Amino acid sequence: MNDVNEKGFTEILRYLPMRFQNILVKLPSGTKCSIKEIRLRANKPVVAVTEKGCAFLASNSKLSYILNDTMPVITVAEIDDTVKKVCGFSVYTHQNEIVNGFVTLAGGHRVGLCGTAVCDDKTAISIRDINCINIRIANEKAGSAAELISKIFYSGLQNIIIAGAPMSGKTTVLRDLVRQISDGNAGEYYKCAVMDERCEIAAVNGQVFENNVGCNTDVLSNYPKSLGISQAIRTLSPDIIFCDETATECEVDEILNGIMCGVHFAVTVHGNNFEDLLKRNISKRLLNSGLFGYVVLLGERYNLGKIEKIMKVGEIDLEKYGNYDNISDLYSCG
Amino acid sequence: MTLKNTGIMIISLICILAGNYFARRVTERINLLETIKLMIKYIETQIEYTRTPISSLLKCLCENNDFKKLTFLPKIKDDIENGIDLNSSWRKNAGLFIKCSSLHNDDGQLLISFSDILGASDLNGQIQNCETYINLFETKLCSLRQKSEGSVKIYNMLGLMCATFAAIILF
Repeated sequence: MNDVNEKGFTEILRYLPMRFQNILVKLPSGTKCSIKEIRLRANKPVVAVTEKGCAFLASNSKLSYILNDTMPVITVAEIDDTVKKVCGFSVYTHQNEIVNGFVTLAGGHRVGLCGTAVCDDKTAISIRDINCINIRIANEKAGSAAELISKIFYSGLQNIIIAGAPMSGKTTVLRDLVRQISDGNAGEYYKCAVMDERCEIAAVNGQVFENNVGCNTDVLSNYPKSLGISQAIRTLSPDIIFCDETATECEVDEILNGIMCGVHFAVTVHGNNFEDLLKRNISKRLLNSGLFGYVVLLGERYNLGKIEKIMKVGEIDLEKYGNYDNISDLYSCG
Repeated sequence: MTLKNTGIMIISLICILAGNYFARRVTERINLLETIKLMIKYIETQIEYTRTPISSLLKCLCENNDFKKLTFLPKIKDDIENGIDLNSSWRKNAGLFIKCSSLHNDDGQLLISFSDILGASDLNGQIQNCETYINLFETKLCSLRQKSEGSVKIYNMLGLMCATFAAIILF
């Protein structure tokens, strides 16, 4: 596990300005492995997010949880250079991703970009004056979905919702679940399809997957999920489709439609706990459909991939969660 | 006497070869400009159709035999792989290439300035940048082709005449 984390850390180093590479490369191995995110902000010190919280990078290659004036700050020119590097000097390749505020690096590391939006009448068409970059180091945590295999999938495929807060490891668990189901750990070599809209799950680089997603998996990279799902169902005949971060009504429509077509789904959604799922329209629609058998709740932030609770939908005592009723008027379309 | 004759022959030969060298440089310049124009067209097509990132584009260009003459491309590819900025690498390596090729300074400036926007804008911006430089190189090539027919002959003739003149004077 530590080797995997350090590999990810080394992979993202080359995108950083040289003087920070030199500082970061000298960090102790344990510290490198504990870093989940690196945040660069113009004229501010570099922030490393670890399991313990936010730490600042000191020039003596140490992380400090207390800010002081001697810490090296990143310049605007260095931010610009980093943006160029993360885009591979090819802004046009990533223009749609940039509008959505992120770029995915080789290895599946997600780079969040923050600046001033350039808008037309209705939507953002670009971002200018990027002043903040958040590099999130991807984790491959082999075995993080083992509990799901033994408790849910061993008796056959199921539709499941994996919920967790940001940084709780939803993508990590989903990736391991794909790998295990694809490699036959659920008792059969099921045909898997992955909607890798942000290229984080399989981390496709050219025609090669950099992350292990199993031997029987088709990956639709960069497809909008709603388009990818219908395409996969029509052309790839999957047994199960995996979707990360279901966030729009149209995606829910396609997922529910896919289940009606006889395909199983494993989806992730944001939500700290079951109450949150009941409050959010997206997760509420998924639960309300009655088509999902299990809800998997992940642990706290920074505790990557820790499964807190597995709930069988039919056995959930909804009274406990207050005013939960079947709100069918929330269904927008489909 | 033999030494004198040998000297005359060597001088005449040098004159002929010099004329031939300058004539060949004109042809080489045209060929190089055509290859550069083809390279930009290739880049434009790849960007327009598949939005291929610059690193992959350079890899494809390096593997393509049509662009073997453009010896600066593999160096830029290596630089990018090592995290060096595209623009500074292009300026440095294209600059070195121009110095030891038959390209003129103004050709070189055009080649170098092509990289100013390369990769740094959206799809439409990239296509327009490529179109602009294709047109600029095409204009240059048109005038050069017109001139070249005459200048190749002139250089060869001048070389031959110098050789004959030197032989007559020295004999």
